[in-house]
Amino acid sequence: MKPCLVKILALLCLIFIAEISGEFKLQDPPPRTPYRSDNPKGPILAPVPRNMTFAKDDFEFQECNIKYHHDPILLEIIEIYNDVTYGKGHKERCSGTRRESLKVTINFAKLSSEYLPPKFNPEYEHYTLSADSHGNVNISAEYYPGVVRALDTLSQLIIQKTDENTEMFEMKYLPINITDYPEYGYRGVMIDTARDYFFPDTLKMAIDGMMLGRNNAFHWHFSEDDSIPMSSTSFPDLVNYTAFSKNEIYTVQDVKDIVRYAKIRGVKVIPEFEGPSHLHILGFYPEFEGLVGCFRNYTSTSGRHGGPPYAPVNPADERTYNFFTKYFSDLKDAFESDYWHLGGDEVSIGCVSVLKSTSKFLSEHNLQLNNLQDYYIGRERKVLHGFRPDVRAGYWWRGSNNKYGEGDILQYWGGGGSVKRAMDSHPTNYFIYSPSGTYYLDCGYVNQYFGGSWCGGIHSWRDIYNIDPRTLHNPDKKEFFMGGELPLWSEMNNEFNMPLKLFPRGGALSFRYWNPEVNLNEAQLMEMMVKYQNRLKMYDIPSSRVTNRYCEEHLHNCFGN
Amino acid sequence: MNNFRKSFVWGTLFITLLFLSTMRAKESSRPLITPNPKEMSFGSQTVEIKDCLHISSIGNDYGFLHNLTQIYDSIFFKNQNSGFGSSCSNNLLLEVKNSFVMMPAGFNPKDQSYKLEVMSNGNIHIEAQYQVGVLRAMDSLAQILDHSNGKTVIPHVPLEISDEPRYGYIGLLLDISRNYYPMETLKTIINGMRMSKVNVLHLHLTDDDSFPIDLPSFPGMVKHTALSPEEVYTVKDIHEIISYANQNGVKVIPEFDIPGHTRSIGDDPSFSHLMTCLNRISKWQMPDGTRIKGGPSGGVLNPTLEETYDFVDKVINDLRKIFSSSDFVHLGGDEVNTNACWVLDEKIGQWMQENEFANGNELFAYFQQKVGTLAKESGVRTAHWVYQNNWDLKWDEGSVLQYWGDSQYIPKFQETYPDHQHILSVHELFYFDCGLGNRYGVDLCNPYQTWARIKMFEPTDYYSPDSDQLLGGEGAMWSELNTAHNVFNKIWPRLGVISSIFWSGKVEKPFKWGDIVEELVSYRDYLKANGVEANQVTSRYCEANPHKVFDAWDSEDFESIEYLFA
Repeated sequence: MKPCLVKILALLCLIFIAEISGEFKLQDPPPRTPYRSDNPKGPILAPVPRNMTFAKDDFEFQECNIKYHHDPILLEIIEIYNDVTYGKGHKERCSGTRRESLKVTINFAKLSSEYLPPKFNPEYEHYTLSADSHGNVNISAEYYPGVVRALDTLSQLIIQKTDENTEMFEMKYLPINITDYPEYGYRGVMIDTARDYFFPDTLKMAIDGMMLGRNNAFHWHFSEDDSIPMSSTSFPDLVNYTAFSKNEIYTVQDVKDIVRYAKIRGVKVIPEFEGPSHLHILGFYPEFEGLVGCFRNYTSTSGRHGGPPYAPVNPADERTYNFFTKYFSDLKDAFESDYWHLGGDEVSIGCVSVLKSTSKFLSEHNLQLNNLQDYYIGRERKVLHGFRPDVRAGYWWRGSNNKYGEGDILQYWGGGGSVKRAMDSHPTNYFIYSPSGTYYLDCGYVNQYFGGSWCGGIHSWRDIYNIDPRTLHNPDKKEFFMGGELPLWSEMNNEFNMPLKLFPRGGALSFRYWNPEVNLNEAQLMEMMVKYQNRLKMYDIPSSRVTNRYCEEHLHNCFGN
Repeated sequence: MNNFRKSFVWGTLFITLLFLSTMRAKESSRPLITPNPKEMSFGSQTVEIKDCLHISSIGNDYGFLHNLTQIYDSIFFKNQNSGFGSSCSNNLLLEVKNSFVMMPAGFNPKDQSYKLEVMSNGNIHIEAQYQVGVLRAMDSLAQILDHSNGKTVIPHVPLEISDEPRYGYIGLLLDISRNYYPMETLKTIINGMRMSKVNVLHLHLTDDDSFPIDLPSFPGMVKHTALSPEEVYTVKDIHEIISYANQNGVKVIPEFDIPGHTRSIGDDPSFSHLMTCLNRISKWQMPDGTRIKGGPSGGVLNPTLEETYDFVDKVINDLRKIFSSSDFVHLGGDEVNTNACWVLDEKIGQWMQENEFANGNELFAYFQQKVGTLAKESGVRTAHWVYQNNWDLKWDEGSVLQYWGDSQYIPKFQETYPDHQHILSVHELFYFDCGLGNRYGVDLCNPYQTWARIKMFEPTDYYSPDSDQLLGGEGAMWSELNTAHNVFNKIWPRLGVISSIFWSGKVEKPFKWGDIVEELVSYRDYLKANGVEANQVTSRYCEANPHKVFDAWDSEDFESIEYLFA
């Protein structure tokens, strides 16, 4: 049984359960029927493995009788994937004697390198899986994330038999041999937890979905003009001014829990503290009086609307760097991070120029207003390197005129232009592709004003899947093209609709970046996506539909061959 | 079973509650009621319902009083120590003219009229023509209650409201063929309709995807035609839904869409011979011009077979009996490919030649005339869909026509069908699935419709306020990409905006955009606090600061707003 919610709320929880009788109950979906494919030609896996051979044998067995030979460190992920494979609560359903069993052996080489490195090298997820006709399964991986991916593939190969009253399972198409690895190492999802707050349990649910969709990076955007819910031990009263409410905060312990939760599931958490802009809310903190540009002037930066302006903290003020040093230092261990995203988006330098301290600082440091952001980036990097010399910094791409450090990771989000040109102008930087015109998951759900969408209609799972990453970069620059990420900005999000926007699109990105060369016909593509959606559903993760209910089960009646 | 999911649900509930506590901290200077009441006056006092509220009725209609306490106890009272009861310091007196009737047949707007008075001493008086008026009054009152610290406080007293809708038909179409919704989901949707003063649930029962209704005339058919053997509505289920809807002031209208959108009937081998184009897959053109083999798989009733009419007659009569209180049976009639499925079919083509039918439209008229006669003989009024692509279609006399084309062609619709009563479901505004993609993962009637655009629609721009030709309007929730989970988010809060249009009408200029946002947010909070999930109106920050954010625009300026954010 999961706790009712975060501990702080346990008491409230009891009170509300007792008192609210008209609460929203998530209605149980129709009875869980195993996925009924009408395509018997071979296994359809999500993603499709890079190399796979299979034959025609079947092996039947009963659940709960799998014999694993593995390192004890793998116990937790094996239990997670038993839940994925057989449904939560499968242990309670087990009974009786067992005749046949699956025997799984896992070879796993490097205990020390279990975590994904900042460059997300594809070999970290490399694995081989072989299954013979007698239920012997062998898994080998060099690194821990490879084991997670192998178990994910295995879980998809095990099918519940539909024609039995007792719970019987089978593996088909045996013997199977798979050698698998991603073409691109970075397949991320960004969640903005600053324009709306999401409880840690909801973020964990999102991470579960990332695991099932092979999204291996959770980019956690936790500061905005609207709120900063991330608390700080150095500034204990900060969140009293910057969070939506005192219950809607993340503690250092929450971060530790989430980072560990993600790590076990093969997901790396990347913290983002956006700066210097998008920090309007910091202006409410008394210590930062006068530090935030355009704090009181609601209309000067953003036209007629009075939404939160893109208000920057002043890069020409030592207090800014004092704050970052302490704030990042509070969080560095919890995030275990060797990669920090530092934002850097949409800075209105006009808002800085009017602040009192600016001109003095500029002359003291012999700086121009124009290169203030480059100065800021340099100072920030110094702060990070003070904690750990190998830490990488990430930024939102701001155009080719800006200076970044060698090895910095740049997230390309422009609608126009091309990431190729950006890679040409910044040959020593690593790139993550997040085009707003296709990958922004908030697009099409209208803006926070009267409607409309600056980035087009809804980008469907198909729009996302259709982009072939191999066409985005020059072949000889592949090392610098890390992969793609789907940003989910939260103006119009809430706890309820957030997972619906993330899924199934998270997987659509991942499956293409994992195996871009595979050529699926319409029915096969649908089957891959529907299987993934059903796995999410079986694991209690809300998802939008891939296609209509009828077509999910009658792919060949809807989509031909 | 679903612990994780449950904790997620609780999480959702918490957010709502926490969120409400932050939102409600700011007292509004006026009662925020969606849709806006016709006439309202209010004071500035507050009165707390301390121990309990005693309901009494001049009509002694105890069944209804029980119904009222069932619905509103958890809505009015958020702690266990208060509730409806007897010997209370506050009284609620009901005066209902037709005290034993929920609502009469037809769609007279006056049927839902009510007067609500809250006196300074906390006593409440409600007058209504029918029971349904009391429900409308109770939801108006419930929306303004202040529940901070678990109390029940009525602000803005003394309060007087005199209210009735402009149009008697304010509907929600729910497609229960393309997705199956569990009974509990349907009931929750009905709750949300009542809270939104939406009085008609139009159930689109059948389509290509499934025929989930277990009809007495066709025992065993659902084994073939439902999405799965578990996803079936029995007659008992439907009766339960109709009865639940009635208790909530909602009428249920059945739709049996014919002669197109009927592929699922062909899944039953006993009826597959009634179909043409059965399971035929056509090609679907993708946005880049490529054509994939994946068009909608077809199935249209064969209009040349007498057996088809026997089948239709039995369905109509089953529906007439099951939905005995419904004002009409909707017979669809939408999107029939008469050329490909009828004219070009060898046998049907030959039959047409022998019987001297020149084209598909003529055969369509023949079908409608025959079905219309069958319905008339059974004493059933019919309704049909009308779209802008074929103004030559003829419909049976007296039928209600529901228009789903663009609003720009409403005048053409009026001109073509002057002798029918109308319902408006203009798709570019009232279709909740638009902008969310279709079953191939490509665009569907973009863009997604916003509260602001929907709010700008005004029926009297097309229909004289004195005419009773327009029954009202309806929001449509087609279910291709729905689940029992995401459906709420699509319907709400936008259904409340549609309700506002047909209940209270265009907001008088000049108005403040901040006021409109504030009202919508309050309505959305009312839904969420009482078990009906709903989407955001605007961002968290802007919901907390509606005037600061939205008042910069003036009310004459909608075109420039559209330009800014298109």
